[in-house]
This record gives sequence, C-alpha cells and structure tokens, in this order.
Amino acid sequence: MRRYFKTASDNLKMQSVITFVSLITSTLTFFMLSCFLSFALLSNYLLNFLESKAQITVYFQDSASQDHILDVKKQLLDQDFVSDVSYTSKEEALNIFLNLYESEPLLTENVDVGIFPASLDVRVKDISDLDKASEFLKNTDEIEEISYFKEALDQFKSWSNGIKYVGSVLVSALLLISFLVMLLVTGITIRDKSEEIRVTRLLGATNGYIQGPFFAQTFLVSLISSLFSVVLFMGLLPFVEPFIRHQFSTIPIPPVSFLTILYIFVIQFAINLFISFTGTLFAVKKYMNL
Amino acid sequence: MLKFENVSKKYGNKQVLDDVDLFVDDGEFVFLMGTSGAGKTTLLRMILREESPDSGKVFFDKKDLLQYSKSELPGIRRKIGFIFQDFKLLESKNASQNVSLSLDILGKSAKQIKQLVPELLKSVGLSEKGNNYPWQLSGGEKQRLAIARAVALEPKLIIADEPTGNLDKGTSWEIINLLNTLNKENGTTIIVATHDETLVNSLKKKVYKIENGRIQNA
Repeated sequence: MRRYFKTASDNLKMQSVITFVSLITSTLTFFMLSCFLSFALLSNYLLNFLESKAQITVYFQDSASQDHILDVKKQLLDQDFVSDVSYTSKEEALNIFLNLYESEPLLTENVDVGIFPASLDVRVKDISDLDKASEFLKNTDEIEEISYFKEALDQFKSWSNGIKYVGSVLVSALLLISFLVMLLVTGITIRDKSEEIRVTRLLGATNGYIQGPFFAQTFLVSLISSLFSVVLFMGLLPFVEPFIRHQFSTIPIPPVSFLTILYIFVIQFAINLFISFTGTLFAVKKYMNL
Repeated sequence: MLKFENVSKKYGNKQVLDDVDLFVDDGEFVFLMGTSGAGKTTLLRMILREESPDSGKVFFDKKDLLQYSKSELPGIRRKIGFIFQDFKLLESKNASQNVSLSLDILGKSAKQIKQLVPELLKSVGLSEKGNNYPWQLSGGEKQRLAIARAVALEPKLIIADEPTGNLDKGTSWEIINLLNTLNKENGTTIIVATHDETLVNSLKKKVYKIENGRIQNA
C-alpha cells in the first residue's frame, strides 16, 4: 500500500501540469457540488419552515361582533384540517402595532383602535389544506379579507426547483468533465509509462500490483480536490451567509455548523471518489489491454 | 524444463517460425544462434507468453504455456528472468530501486529487500553504483544491472536476447561469463539468443541454429 502511494505521489510530481489541471477541474466541480448541496439543504429547510407556518389570516368587518368571531373560531376548530386558531381583537391589533413602531412616534400618534380589524389566525395541518380553509371561510359572513401566502410559497417552490434543476444540469456536466479528465489523466500516465508497465509485467507483477498506483493517484487527487473545494466553500461562507440571513430575515436559519461542513465534505468526497475511480477503471481497462 | 513442439508463427505473409522443435533441459546453458530477423526474438517472446504460436505448443515445466490463465501468468513469469539487448531498465529508478522492484514483486519485506539489494549488486560488481541511475551507467554496467534484476527473482530460467549486442568485446565476455557462472553455481537454466559466432564458439555449449524460422541443427 505504501509503495502504491509513493509511486502515485511521484507520478503526480512528475506530471505537474496534468496534476494541476486535474486538481483545478476537480476542485471547481466539487466546489460547485458543495454549493449545490448547501443550497438544497437550505431550500429544504426554508420550505419545511414555511410549510410548518402555513396559515390563513381572516380579517373581519368592523360590524362583526366578538361573539360572531368566536363562533367562527369554534366552527374552524371543529374542522379536521385545522390545527389551531388564535383570535386577535381590535385592541390587541392596536397594541401590536404600537409596540412594533414605538420608536417611530410619527406613525403611532394618530392611530386608534378603529382602523384595526379583528382577525383570526388559522393554522392548518398541511400546506395543501390552505385551500380548504379558504373555501370554508368564503362562506362565512362579515369577512373583510382572507390573506394567506400560498402563492408566495408556490413561487418560492418553483424558484427553488428551478435553481435545483439548473444546478443539477451544471453539476452533472461538471461531473462528466471530471470523469473525462480523470480518464485522460490516467490514460496519459499509462501511455507515459507503457514501457515501464511492460517491463514490470514481464518481471511477473500482477495486474493489481501495476494498477494499484493509478488508483492511489486517483485517491490522492480526489482527496486533495475535495479538501480544496471545502476550504474554498468555507472561505466564501462569511460573505454569503449574512446575505442569505438578510434575504430571509424573518426565518431563524441555524448557523452552518462543523457537522454540516463535514456532511458536505463526506458526500462530495464520496461522489468524487466514485467518479474518479470509474474514470480510472475505464482508462486502465482501455489502455492497459487487460 | 522447456519444449517447443512444431511451433509456427506468421506475421502477415512472413513466416517467422516454421515448425520449430526445441528442447532445453533443467540446468542447461543453450545458445540460440541466428542472424537478425531469423526468429530468435519471437521464440523468446513466446516463452514469456508475449506472443502465442499460430500452431504447435510451447511447454514450460511440462505444461503448455497457453493453458495458463491470465491470473497464473505473473507466477510463471516470476520463474523466468529476462535480459534484453536494450537492457529495459527503469530510467526513473536508480540501480538499487531497479533491483528492489523484482524483490518487491516477489513479495519480499522491506527489511529483506534492504538486505538483499546490496548482495545482488555485489554479485554483479555494482556495489558502488546503487545510487546511480541507468543513464549514469556504462553499457556493461547496465547489462550487469539487468542481470542482477533478473537474478533477484531467483528464476529457474533466464532468457537473454542479444545481451551483448550493444557492448564491446571485452564487456561482452564479462556478461557471458557472468551468465555462465550463474548457470554453474546456481544451476539456473540459461538461453542466450545471439548472432555473435565467436562468442558461441568460445563456450562449448548446446547451440540451436535458427535460419528463416527453422531450426537447422541441434
């Protein structure tokens, strides 16, 4: 095993330009993969969060009495798709507004309870139940407005799916390039060492003995490029993370932990190894005449 | 040890070997003599199974070489040391590393290799040249190194294809004497392919003459 890695590192040093090109290609590919993986993790988290917050807010007309509103609340709670309903009176709405804008007296000095409608916040069990809740409320009297963010959620979903699709195509193309580069690099090394391979074979070396260093070389390139790509990813995090937090300021996004980085590294290293080993295997079969 | 039975080989329209019969017993030293293109190299390549006969059989250790599977082939090759006119040394490795390659292939431990390499280099008079790369060695030294590498395999048979082809007369003698010593002291079977009649005549050994792909006399 030690000989495999010694020969592999000698090969990498001797073919410095090819090594550099394969490391750059592989690093970029797996950096993109890291970004794509993080985006997938983030968008899944955001979707789950938004879906768990799926709710409808119903604003009542000024003429609606508290008894009527509480009766509607009771009827809603009887529905199997509703998980919770909370009532906000006109006075409570005013207090919320005043608390929210207490530092801006210009906004608060002329408001009174009359401009705030009473409302019910209806939380459903599943995002698909939003329509049912909306239908139910349309048939209820003295409702001013029904507000829910299904459209915004659908838009987010379609935006996230679009990025996932483009990302998948891009990463697949880069993975294919990585595979071809590894095929080419191993092929060149084999051609470069064809006489050495022939002599070693005549001395009685087994296929495993001859091929070992090529797979060790692939392992080293994969490991180094995976490490480089994670380092690059971590280097960009301090710039990208605040931007994402700002964009989704109302959603408590957990910080990127060491475990998340490790998770991303392990996944991309496993894919890197798989792609590179497949490329090497193809090259070995093709150029070594096995 | 080695037997060719009605072996024929053609490259395109050229008949390289034509119904060749040849027998080499254990511990023999045999010359295979012929001009360039007579078919000597093809015959030696068949022993290493780098070539296969179109017809006929080549037996090594009483078994048809073609019957060995691909996975058995390395084991067979480890029993056969080879020496070529152009040495076939690994240019990226120094003399010690060239010899240790054979030992490593045999599965010797690092400790055994460390102990055996100086002994092998000493046996061919290259004790002081262990750190030299092939390009830093003379033709004779390169061939002695190739012999040390072949001997490291502890082979039953050594085949040498024009081992003196690139060497001056004095150095050629050194190499032939070295092979003769191996044959006498270790009992290693040796087959030397050469076109040098003076060399062949100087040692009273079995000679197979090959001409136009046919063995002329034995």
